[in-house]
Amino acid sequence: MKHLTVRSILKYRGGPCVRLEMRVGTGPEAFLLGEESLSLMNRIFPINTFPVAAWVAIACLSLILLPPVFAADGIHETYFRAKVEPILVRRCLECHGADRKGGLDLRTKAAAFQGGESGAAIEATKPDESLLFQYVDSEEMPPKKPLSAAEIAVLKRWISDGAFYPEKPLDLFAATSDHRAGHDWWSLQPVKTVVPPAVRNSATVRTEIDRFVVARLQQNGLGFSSPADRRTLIRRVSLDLTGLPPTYEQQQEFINDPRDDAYERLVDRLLASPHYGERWGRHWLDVVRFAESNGFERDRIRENFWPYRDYVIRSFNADKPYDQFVREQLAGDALKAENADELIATGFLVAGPKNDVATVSELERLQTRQDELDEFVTATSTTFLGLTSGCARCHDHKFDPIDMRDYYALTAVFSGLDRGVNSVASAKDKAARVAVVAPIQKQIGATKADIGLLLQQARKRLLASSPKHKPNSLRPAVSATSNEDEFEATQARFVRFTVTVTLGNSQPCLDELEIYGENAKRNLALSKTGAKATASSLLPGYPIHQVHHLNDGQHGNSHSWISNESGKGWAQIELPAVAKVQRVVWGRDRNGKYNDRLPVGYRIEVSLDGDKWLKVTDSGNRIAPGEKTHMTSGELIAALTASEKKQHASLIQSQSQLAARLKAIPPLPVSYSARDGQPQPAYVLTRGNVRDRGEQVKPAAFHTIKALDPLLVGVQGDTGPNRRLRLAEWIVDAKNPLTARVFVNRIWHYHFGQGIVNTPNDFGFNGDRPSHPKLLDWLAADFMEHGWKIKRLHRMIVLSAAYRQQSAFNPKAASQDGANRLLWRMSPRRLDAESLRDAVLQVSGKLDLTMEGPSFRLFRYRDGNVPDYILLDEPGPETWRRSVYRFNIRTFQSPLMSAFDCPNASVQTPKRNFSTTALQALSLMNNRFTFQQSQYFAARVTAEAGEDPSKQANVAYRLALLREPTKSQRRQAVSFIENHGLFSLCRVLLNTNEFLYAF
Amino acid sequence: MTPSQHTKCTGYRRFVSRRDFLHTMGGGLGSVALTDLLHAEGQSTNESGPHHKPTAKRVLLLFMSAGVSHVDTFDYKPELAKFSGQSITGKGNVQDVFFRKPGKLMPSPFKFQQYGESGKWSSELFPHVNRKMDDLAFVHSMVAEANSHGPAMHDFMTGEPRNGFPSVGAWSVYGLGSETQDLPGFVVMMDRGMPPSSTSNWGNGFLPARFQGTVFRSSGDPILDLEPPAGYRSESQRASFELLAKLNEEHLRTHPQDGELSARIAAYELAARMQLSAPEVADLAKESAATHQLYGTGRSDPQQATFSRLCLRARRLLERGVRFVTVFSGGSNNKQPSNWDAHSNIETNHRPNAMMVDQPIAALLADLKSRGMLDDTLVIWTGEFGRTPTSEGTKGRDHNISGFTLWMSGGGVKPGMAYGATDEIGFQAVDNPVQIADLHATILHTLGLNHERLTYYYNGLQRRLTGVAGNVIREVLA
Repeated sequence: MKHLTVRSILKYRGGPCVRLEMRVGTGPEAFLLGEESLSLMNRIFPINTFPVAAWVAIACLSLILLPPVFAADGIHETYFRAKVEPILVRRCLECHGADRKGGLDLRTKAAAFQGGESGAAIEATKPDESLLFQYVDSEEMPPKKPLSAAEIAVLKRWISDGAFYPEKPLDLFAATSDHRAGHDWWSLQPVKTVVPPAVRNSATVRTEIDRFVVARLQQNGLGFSSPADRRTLIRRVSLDLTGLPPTYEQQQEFINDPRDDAYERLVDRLLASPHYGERWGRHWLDVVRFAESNGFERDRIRENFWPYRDYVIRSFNADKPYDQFVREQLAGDALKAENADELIATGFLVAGPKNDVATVSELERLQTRQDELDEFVTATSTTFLGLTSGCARCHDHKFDPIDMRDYYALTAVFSGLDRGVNSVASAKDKAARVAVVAPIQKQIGATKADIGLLLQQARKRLLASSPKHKPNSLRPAVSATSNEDEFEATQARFVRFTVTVTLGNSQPCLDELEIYGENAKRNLALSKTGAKATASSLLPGYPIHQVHHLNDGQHGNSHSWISNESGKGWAQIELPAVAKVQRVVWGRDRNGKYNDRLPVGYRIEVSLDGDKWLKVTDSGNRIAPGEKTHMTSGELIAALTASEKKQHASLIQSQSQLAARLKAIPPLPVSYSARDGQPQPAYVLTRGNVRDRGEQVKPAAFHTIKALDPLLVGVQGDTGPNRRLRLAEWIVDAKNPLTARVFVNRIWHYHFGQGIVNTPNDFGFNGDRPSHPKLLDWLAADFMEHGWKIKRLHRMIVLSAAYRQQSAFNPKAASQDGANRLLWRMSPRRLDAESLRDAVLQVSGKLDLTMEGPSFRLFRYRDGNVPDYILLDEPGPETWRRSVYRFNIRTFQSPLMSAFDCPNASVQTPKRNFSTTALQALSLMNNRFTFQQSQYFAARVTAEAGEDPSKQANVAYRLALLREPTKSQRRQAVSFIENHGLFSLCRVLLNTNEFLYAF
Repeated sequence: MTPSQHTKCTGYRRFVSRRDFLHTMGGGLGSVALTDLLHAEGQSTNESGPHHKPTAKRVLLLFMSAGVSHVDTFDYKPELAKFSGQSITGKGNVQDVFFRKPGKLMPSPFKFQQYGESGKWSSELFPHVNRKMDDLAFVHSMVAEANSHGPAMHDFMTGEPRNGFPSVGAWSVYGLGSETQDLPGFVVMMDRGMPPSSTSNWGNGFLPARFQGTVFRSSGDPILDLEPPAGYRSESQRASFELLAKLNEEHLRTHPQDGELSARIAAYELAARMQLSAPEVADLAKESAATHQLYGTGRSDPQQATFSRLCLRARRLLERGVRFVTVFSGGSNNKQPSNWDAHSNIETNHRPNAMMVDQPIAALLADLKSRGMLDDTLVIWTGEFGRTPTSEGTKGRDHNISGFTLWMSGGGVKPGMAYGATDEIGFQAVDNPVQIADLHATILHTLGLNHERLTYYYNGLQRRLTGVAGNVIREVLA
């Protein structure tokens, strides 16, 4: 028996932190109790207000309250939980848990005692005979970083004491460690109800958001900067909410608005503007990796994907509740509404790249499909949950509590998911179109019939007068490449093709004899399915001509059969079993090189026993080579009488008029979106190997979130769309702690240039920690409580004092918080690529504000096996629309856009880079686009200001910088215009920092 | 092929601030702007220099687009003649990796003989390069993961078969910056238009845009938008830069000490400098007649002459401190045969292609050597995969990812050696297979960068060029 002593130690550790320890045992293996009870007490009594004497009292009290701990098993359990489990979980289970490296699984007693490939790991009470101990003691395990001496001692003592194990298996994810997040990770805890903190000197506080921000600033001895002036503020908020700078007039109006709520009115106007949706839709398109091409090898264009972009813009403009937005994008096809948007919305699922290179390798096909499923899973979990899950494809997640079962259970949700161009018309739209189209089609039909009747006359005349023309009831002449003979479906075991006549009376040649039954695609004759070919004879001496070539699935002369009889011979297929046959396809050389030896007279017979034969078809109803059944329209028209010809011409004319009318009716809308077939069974793939299937998994969400049941198996038909709908419901469940947090953080991030969590796609262990955790929870709770309304959230944020601060630099604050995480000012921000391009167009007066519809192209598309995208030298007016309508190709970047950090949409962009480079400077100075638009800008200035350089300078400054030039700037500008032209001034203004940044 | 996504997942390390990494200037930005630009990016210069002592200061990647055949160039397989016309089945370790069904084994139509003191076997395709044999180190056991050009190019350039990830050049400049103050740190040149997968081959992926490769064009202004459109007076151009600087300085006074704003002022100054330096580096007029002769810039075939000029320019770029230069031989797959994708006829494809590149590549090696630059320039010659020892059609060869050859020279490489081997027919790497990640690790290693420590946070992980894979191929290093 070990000696047990209990001491309570009260200890101060640098500052206000108090730690209560209870030491059990003595020596190096003595262990500590009390962390948990302490944290409970912490919650009850804030540490810095709690008198030390009370701690002593509680320490003593705990001793009284804890007697069961000291019962025999209890002692072992307590020791295990306090000392052993942390070592096993943090240092061993990563490999010797679900991964069972070396066959060893230390999660349960049974498995641990049984051991792995090297034998039993633990001999209870005999550490020296336990492999586990030997390995850690010799520092062989864990690899790279062995255990400390104290830890080794702990394991030794634990084994000596009998190696206690709890009933429930150890859980790698039980608790957060130094290396990974557990189920207790901050972002996985329920969203808390938070009361905005009280702040001292609340004069600068406008909204509840400000309380949180100011409280943090005050903790650091900082405060807000002064409010920005109206001139700055309107440009900032306009660019932020709509992606467009205000006009000079709008700015003046706002500056001179005497009303107290002028700013609120401005914000409401901007939020109501359709340009709001264009701006914030663009942000969302970054997150969901929207691009209009397939990526990978070919990167083929997606002509019909723009409706999804318009759907996103519409959704933001309509202030669609976010939970609905999520449901539609994940499972719009499962929502029974009569609304095209809900089908278009599923474009989210398939917005990523698609590998469309076909290969004969089955392994590669499986791999490609698994990659695709991975893409669906990754996009879904990072977009909505801020969790990266890809690690769990090959092993349990190394950082977050997501195991392989979680991952593969989610692949089950998408297991039937495919993509395609779908009709997205509502029943009403369809009916409306039919109402317009049907009468025209009927007229076209009637016209066609009239034309047909006329030509029928001509055909009869021709048949009567020309011997080479044959009635079209006959079949075409045999072709050297491929011929089809269809007949009434007949049960057969044997099919024989007997040649009776060949071209030039040579020995007949066949390269392949195919037999089809009900399944029009399954060739029953293939030797690899067990069918056998025989023949009357074989031309000897040629390896390329063999009987077995008749059904080897390979075409061409070098895989053919030739009989050894002039002008005749037969070939026969014996099927592996009796089958219904109804079509024979045969050819002499499907590669089209040879046309000699062609059977022109033949019959096809079938038999059940190889003895009694039934003829099913022959060449009798084929015309001979050189004859024709087809008559060209020229031949037919020539055979018409003069009056018939006139009648015919008029019919043709009305037919083409009708066709033109039909063509003018817009087609029903289609959209590249999800298509879900039969869900496929999903398995855990060992080490991610597609050929190594482990247990089958049911469709489920991550069990990472304890507040929710992850199982997504439904009651009403387990189709793919329904699985996704249940996943969507799980995601938008108010108990899901991630969804609202992740989304409000995205919105915050775009408003301030950085998120409360600065890794918007990653709320896991590798991600950033929230700078204002309480604010994040308060925003998330408020967002859900108020119906997931996004515009309300924007409004709260942009009306805050935090948002309305000026952007001036403050060295004192910067020395403490250089990155401005605490928001002591509004950080100036360079316009992103799209806003910059749009702003240039707006200033030049050329911005085309047409919304929606197919994207404009800055390239020429040249189709081919691997298409080419060729940059346009001089893009025309059709490209002067807002940049959100730009056709974005995955392998082809527009140089100007990409210089300004416009991302390649092959992967998600949760956060843009904002770099500063010399190439940006060159692009914006010299690019054709800047040149072109600077010329329009100059023309616009001249139209408004006339030829006086001084007036020109005023107007140019107003248009680009929303202000008058200073006196010296005007002087400078005038002399510059005189020497280098107005155009040069315009171009310079578009390159100034004042223009390039929002302050 | 064993599927190994494991090499595709990345990062095992804790989130650390970007401050932890050295960022000297990419995108050709010089020391004048250094402080401000670093400040703007929230970076510090506290940690500087490479992780360990580099053996190469710069890298030249000579890329034969669409797959050069190893069994017809540097991986001599006499057994192919013996097995000519036979099925591949039963020879080598052949698995389900074919893009198309394999044809019969086909011997090389080219003559082989031994070269140099090392006695290395090589084909007649590269007469000039063969004479440099003792300067080269061959890796005969390269293994790629993707079987079609696009994904394979991405994999070779970025370590990921999908597009959208940072290329090895971008990583190099991210890790070390550039030594030139007025040229981009990472330059790309191509002889016949965009290679397969286009700009993705030199993209910055999730790294900031300043690390992306800059295309030096073979005609016209060397850099897109380097100069204003023709007809604009250079005097006005200069005055515009001056006026802009004045306006920005004035504006900066209203935002004193804002590093980002002063960084942009510096960026425009550098752009102005680049307008002088880029044409200077592209201009070959000052090179001696002997040098032109050496590279073959005067060859009568315009495509041959183009590649010669690109190689000469590559030397000038490297000489001026550009960190990473990629030269592509071969363009897009649409205009066959415009690259090395010899599906229909290995001989008629590879012979003219080799003719185009052989002399200038050998010249480049000689020129670098004579200028003392080969010692600290890592030169790599490769394609994204090799070609099958079997025929496609009657005379072509298909893609082969199971084994192919590249050579390296200079910067810390052990010359006159060969590492790894394919099987008797040249199909599969059997001896010391080398993954793309190993090559990437080796490139970074020669530059003094530890591929496990060169990381950048993106979407949940500290990303590495090498994912969780990558072993430096120490055997080829001196």
